[in-house]
Amino acid sequence: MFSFLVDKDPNAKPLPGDLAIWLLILAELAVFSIFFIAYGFVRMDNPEMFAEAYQHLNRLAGLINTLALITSSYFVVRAVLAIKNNQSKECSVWLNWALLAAMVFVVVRIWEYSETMSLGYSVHTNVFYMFYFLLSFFHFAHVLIGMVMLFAVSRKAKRGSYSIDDYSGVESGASYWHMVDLLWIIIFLLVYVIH
Amino acid sequence: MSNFLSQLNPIQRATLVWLALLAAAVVAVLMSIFFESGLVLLLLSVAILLFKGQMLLDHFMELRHVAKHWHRLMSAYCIIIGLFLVLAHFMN
Repeated sequence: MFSFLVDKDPNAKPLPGDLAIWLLILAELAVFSIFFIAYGFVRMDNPEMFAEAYQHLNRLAGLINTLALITSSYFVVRAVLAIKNNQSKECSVWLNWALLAAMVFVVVRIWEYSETMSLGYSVHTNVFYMFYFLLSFFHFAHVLIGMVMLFAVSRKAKRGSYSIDDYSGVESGASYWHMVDLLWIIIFLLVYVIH
Repeated sequence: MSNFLSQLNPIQRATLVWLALLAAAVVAVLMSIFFESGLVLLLLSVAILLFKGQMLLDHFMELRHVAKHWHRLMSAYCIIIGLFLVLAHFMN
Protein backbone atom coordinates (compact mmCIF):
# COMPACT_ATOMS: atom_id res chain seq x y z
CA MET A 1 0.00 0.00 0.00
CA PHE A 2 2.82 2.40 0.86
CA SER A 3 5.17 1.19 -1.89
CA PHE A 4 5.18 4.69 -3.45
CA LEU A 5 6.97 5.95 -0.34
CA VAL A 6 9.91 3.58 -0.73
CA ASP A 7 13.02 4.98 -2.42
CA LYS A 8 13.46 3.85 -6.02
CA ASP A 9 16.37 6.13 -6.94
CA PRO A 10 19.56 4.04 -6.52
CA ASN A 11 21.64 7.17 -5.76
CA ALA A 12 19.28 8.52 -3.13
CA LYS A 13 20.15 8.12 0.54
CA PRO A 14 17.55 6.40 2.72
CA LEU A 15 15.25 8.54 4.84
CA PRO A 16 16.80 9.35 8.23
CA GLY A 17 15.08 7.18 10.84
CA ASP A 18 12.25 4.70 10.41
CA LEU A 19 9.59 4.95 7.72
CA ALA A 20 6.98 4.80 10.51
CA ILE A 21 8.18 8.09 12.02
CA TRP A 22 7.88 9.74 8.61
CA LEU A 23 4.31 8.53 8.24
CA LEU A 24 3.63 10.00 11.68
CA ILE A 25 5.30 13.28 10.64
CA LEU A 26 3.15 13.49 7.49
CA ALA A 27 0.03 12.84 9.56
CA GLU A 28 1.00 15.53 12.10
CA LEU A 29 1.76 18.06 9.36
CA ALA A 30 -1.62 17.33 7.75
CA VAL A 31 -3.46 17.92 11.04
CA PHE A 32 -1.59 21.19 11.69
CA SER A 33 -2.27 22.38 8.13
CA ILE A 34 -6.00 22.21 8.90
CA PHE A 35 -5.41 24.51 11.88
CA PHE A 36 -3.30 26.90 9.77
CA ILE A 37 -5.90 27.10 7.01
CA ALA A 38 -8.74 27.55 9.51
CA TYR A 39 -6.73 30.31 11.25
CA GLY A 40 -6.16 32.03 7.90
CA PHE A 41 -9.84 31.94 6.93
CA VAL A 42 -11.04 33.14 10.35
CA ARG A 43 -8.52 35.99 10.31
CA MET A 44 -9.72 36.93 6.85
CA ASP A 45 -13.24 37.34 8.22
CA ASN A 46 -12.17 39.20 11.40
CA PRO A 47 -9.25 41.50 10.48
CA GLU A 48 -10.01 44.16 13.12
CA MET A 49 -10.31 41.62 15.93
CA PHE A 50 -7.02 39.97 14.99
CA ALA A 51 -5.25 43.32 14.61
CA GLU A 52 -6.45 44.42 18.06
CA ALA A 53 -5.53 41.12 19.73
CA TYR A 54 -2.10 41.18 18.07
CA GLN A 55 -1.23 44.31 20.08
CA HIS A 56 -1.48 42.28 23.31
CA LEU A 57 0.75 39.40 22.20
CA ASN A 58 4.11 39.00 23.89
CA ARG A 59 6.45 39.05 20.89
CA LEU A 60 9.51 38.76 23.12
CA ALA A 61 8.22 35.43 24.43
CA GLY A 62 7.59 34.31 20.85
CA LEU A 63 11.12 35.27 19.84
CA ILE A 64 12.74 33.58 22.85
CA ASN A 65 10.75 30.42 22.12
CA THR A 66 11.83 30.48 18.49
CA LEU A 67 15.49 30.90 19.41
CA ALA A 68 15.19 28.12 22.02
CA LEU A 69 13.62 25.62 19.60
CA ILE A 70 16.08 26.40 16.78
CA THR A 71 18.98 26.00 19.22
CA SER A 72 17.49 22.76 20.50
CA SER A 73 17.23 21.48 16.91
CA TYR A 74 20.89 22.41 16.34
CA PHE A 75 21.92 20.40 19.40
CA VAL A 76 19.93 17.44 18.06
CA VAL A 77 21.82 17.73 14.74
CA ARG A 78 25.08 17.63 16.72
CA ALA A 79 23.83 14.51 18.53
CA VAL A 80 23.17 12.78 15.19
CA LEU A 81 26.61 13.80 13.91
CA ALA A 82 28.17 12.44 17.12
CA ILE A 83 26.51 9.03 16.79
CA LYS A 84 27.56 8.88 13.12
CA ASN A 85 31.12 9.14 14.48
CA ASN A 86 30.35 6.33 16.93
CA GLN A 87 30.47 8.74 19.90
CA SER A 88 27.54 7.43 21.92
CA LYS A 89 28.28 9.36 25.12
CA GLU A 90 28.75 12.60 23.23
CA CYS A 91 25.45 11.96 21.45
CA SER A 92 23.75 11.67 24.85
CA VAL A 93 25.36 14.92 26.04
CA TRP A 94 24.14 16.83 22.95
CA LEU A 95 20.64 15.44 23.46
CA ASN A 96 20.71 16.64 27.07
CA TRP A 97 21.63 20.12 25.84
CA ALA A 98 18.71 19.90 23.42
CA LEU A 99 16.41 19.01 26.32
CA LEU A 100 17.72 21.98 28.29
CA ALA A 101 16.92 24.33 25.39
CA ALA A 102 13.49 22.70 25.12
CA MET A 103 12.96 23.40 28.84
CA VAL A 104 13.51 27.09 28.10
CA PHE A 105 10.65 26.83 25.60
CA VAL A 106 8.43 25.12 28.20
CA VAL A 107 9.15 27.73 30.90
CA VAL A 108 8.61 30.70 28.56
CA ARG A 109 5.39 29.17 27.19
CA ILE A 110 3.99 28.70 30.71
CA TRP A 111 5.05 32.27 31.58
CA GLU A 112 3.32 33.57 28.43
CA TYR A 113 0.13 31.61 29.17
CA SER A 114 0.02 32.87 32.76
CA GLU A 115 0.65 36.45 31.63
CA THR A 116 -2.05 36.25 28.95
CA MET A 117 -4.57 34.73 31.34
CA SER A 118 -3.73 37.24 34.09
CA LEU A 119 -4.75 39.98 31.62
CA GLY A 120 -8.16 38.31 31.45
CA TYR A 121 -7.83 36.59 28.09
CA SER A 122 -8.91 33.00 27.72
CA VAL A 123 -10.03 30.55 25.08
CA HIS A 124 -13.55 31.99 25.47
CA THR A 125 -12.57 35.67 24.95
CA ASN A 126 -12.94 35.66 21.17
CA VAL A 127 -12.10 33.59 18.12
CA PHE A 128 -8.52 34.92 17.98
CA TYR A 129 -7.74 33.73 21.49
CA MET A 130 -9.49 30.44 20.79
CA PHE A 131 -7.05 29.84 17.92
CA TYR A 132 -4.10 31.28 19.86
CA PHE A 133 -4.61 28.86 22.75
CA LEU A 134 -5.62 25.93 20.55
CA LEU A 135 -2.70 26.21 18.11
CA SER A 136 -0.06 27.00 20.72
CA PHE A 137 -1.25 24.38 23.20
CA PHE A 138 -1.51 21.68 20.53
CA HIS A 139 2.05 22.50 19.51
CA PHE A 140 3.12 22.65 23.16
CA ALA A 141 1.82 19.10 23.63
CA HIS A 142 4.00 18.01 20.70
CA VAL A 143 7.01 19.68 22.31
CA LEU A 144 6.38 17.65 25.47
CA ILE A 145 6.02 14.41 23.46
CA GLY A 146 9.23 15.26 21.58
CA MET A 147 11.04 15.88 24.87
CA VAL A 148 9.99 12.45 26.15
CA MET A 149 11.34 10.93 22.91
CA LEU A 150 14.64 12.80 23.17
CA PHE A 151 14.99 11.82 26.83
CA ALA A 152 14.46 8.14 25.99
CA VAL A 153 16.95 8.31 23.10
CA SER A 154 19.47 10.10 25.33
CA ARG A 155 19.18 7.40 28.00
CA LYS A 156 19.69 4.66 25.40
CA ALA A 157 22.66 6.50 23.89
CA LYS A 158 24.21 6.88 27.34
CA ARG A 159 23.87 3.12 27.86
CA GLY A 160 25.66 2.59 24.53
CA SER A 161 22.64 1.07 22.78
CA TYR A 162 23.36 3.01 19.57
CA SER A 163 26.42 2.69 17.38
CA ILE A 164 27.71 3.74 13.98
CA ASP A 165 25.94 0.67 12.54
CA ASP A 166 22.61 1.21 14.31
CA TYR A 167 21.44 4.76 14.99
CA SER A 168 18.03 4.72 13.37
CA GLY A 169 16.42 5.47 16.76
CA VAL A 170 18.47 8.66 17.12
CA GLU A 171 17.49 9.78 13.62
CA SER A 172 13.82 9.02 14.24
CA GLY A 173 13.77 11.11 17.41
CA ALA A 174 15.70 13.87 15.63
CA SER A 175 13.28 13.91 12.67
CA TYR A 176 10.28 14.24 14.99
CA TRP A 177 11.99 17.07 16.88
CA HIS A 178 12.79 18.95 13.66
CA MET A 179 9.13 18.61 12.65
CA VAL A 180 8.16 20.27 15.97
CA ASP A 181 10.61 23.06 15.13
CA LEU A 182 9.25 23.43 11.58
CA LEU A 183 5.70 23.75 12.91
CA TRP A 184 6.77 26.41 15.41
CA ILE A 185 8.45 28.42 12.64
CA ILE A 186 5.09 28.54 10.84
CA ILE A 187 3.08 29.30 14.02
CA PHE A 188 5.52 32.04 15.00
CA LEU A 189 5.20 33.82 11.65
CA LEU A 190 1.46 33.25 11.45
CA VAL A 191 0.60 34.49 14.97
CA TYR A 192 3.43 36.77 16.12
CA VAL A 193 4.78 38.38 12.93
CA ILE A 194 2.08 38.74 10.26
CA HIS A 195 -0.47 41.32 11.34
CA MET B 1 24.12 29.05 -1.08
CA SER B 2 23.55 25.30 -1.23
CA ASN B 3 26.82 24.86 -3.16
CA PHE B 4 28.70 26.90 -0.57
CA LEU B 5 27.16 24.94 2.31
CA SER B 6 27.95 21.60 0.67
CA GLN B 7 31.67 22.50 0.69
CA LEU B 8 31.71 22.80 4.50
CA ASN B 9 32.13 19.90 6.89
CA PRO B 10 28.89 18.73 8.58
CA ILE B 11 29.55 20.57 11.88
CA GLN B 12 30.45 23.84 10.15
CA ARG B 13 27.39 23.52 7.92
CA ALA B 14 25.02 22.84 10.82
CA THR B 15 26.47 25.74 12.82
CA LEU B 16 26.14 28.16 9.92
CA VAL B 17 22.54 27.08 9.26
CA TRP B 18 21.75 27.43 12.98
CA LEU B 19 23.11 31.01 13.02
CA ALA B 20 21.19 31.85 9.82
CA LEU B 21 17.96 30.53 11.37
CA LEU B 22 18.52 32.57 14.54
CA ALA B 23 19.18 35.68 12.47
CA ALA B 24 16.04 35.08 10.39
CA ALA B 25 13.94 34.84 13.58
CA VAL B 26 15.30 38.16 14.86
CA VAL B 27 14.75 39.80 11.45
CA ALA B 28 11.14 38.54 11.45
CA VAL B 29 10.41 40.17 14.82
CA LEU B 30 12.09 43.44 13.77
CA MET B 31 9.98 43.40 10.60
CA SER B 32 6.81 43.00 12.64
CA ILE B 33 7.79 46.02 14.74
CA PHE B 34 8.92 48.38 11.99
CA PHE B 35 6.60 47.45 9.14
CA GLU B 36 2.98 48.47 8.99
CA SER B 37 0.68 45.54 8.46
CA GLY B 38 0.15 44.79 4.80
CA LEU B 39 1.37 43.04 1.72
CA VAL B 40 5.07 43.88 2.13
CA LEU B 41 5.21 42.41 5.62
CA LEU B 42 3.27 39.37 4.43
CA LEU B 43 5.55 38.73 1.45
CA LEU B 44 8.70 39.18 3.55
CA SER B 45 7.27 36.83 6.19
CA VAL B 46 6.48 34.19 3.56
CA ALA B 47 10.01 34.58 2.16
CA ILE B 48 11.41 34.00 5.67
CA LEU B 49 9.11 30.99 6.09
CA LEU B 50 10.35 29.46 2.82
CA PHE B 51 14.01 30.17 3.67
CA LYS B 52 13.82 28.78 7.20
CA GLY B 53 11.73 25.80 6.13
CA GLN B 54 14.14 24.88 3.34
CA MET B 55 17.20 25.26 5.58
CA LEU B 56 15.59 23.06 8.23
CA LEU B 57 14.49 20.40 5.75
CA ASP B 58 17.75 20.28 3.79
CA HIS B 59 20.34 20.62 6.53
CA PHE B 60 18.74 19.70 9.86
CA MET B 61 16.39 16.96 8.65
CA GLU B 62 19.00 15.86 6.07
CA LEU B 63 16.45 15.53 3.28
CA ARG B 64 18.56 17.02 0.49
CA HIS B 65 20.04 13.66 -0.52
CA VAL B 66 16.98 11.43 0.00
CA ALA B 67 14.61 10.38 -2.79
CA LYS B 68 13.25 13.41 -4.64
CA HIS B 69 9.59 12.67 -3.93
CA TRP B 70 10.18 12.91 -0.18
CA HIS B 71 12.15 16.13 -0.56
CA ARG B 72 9.47 17.65 -2.80
CA LEU B 73 6.65 16.53 -0.52
CA MET B 74 8.18 18.20 2.52
CA SER B 75 9.22 21.35 0.62
CA ALA B 76 5.72 21.62 -0.84
CA TYR B 77 4.30 21.87 2.68
CA CYS B 78 5.98 25.22 3.39
CA ILE B 79 5.25 26.48 -0.13
CA ILE B 80 1.54 25.61 0.12
CA ILE B 81 1.20 27.26 3.55
CA GLY B 82 3.01 30.35 2.21
CA LEU B 83 0.83 30.50 -0.91
CA PHE B 84 -2.28 30.11 1.20
CA LEU B 85 -1.28 33.10 3.36
CA VAL B 86 -0.79 35.27 0.27
CA LEU B 87 -4.05 34.02 -1.23
CA ALA B 88 -5.93 34.72 2.02
CA HIS B 89 -4.58 38.29 1.96
CA PHE B 90 -5.96 38.94 -1.52
CA MET B 91 -9.27 37.27 -0.75
CA ASN B 92 -9.74 39.65 2.19
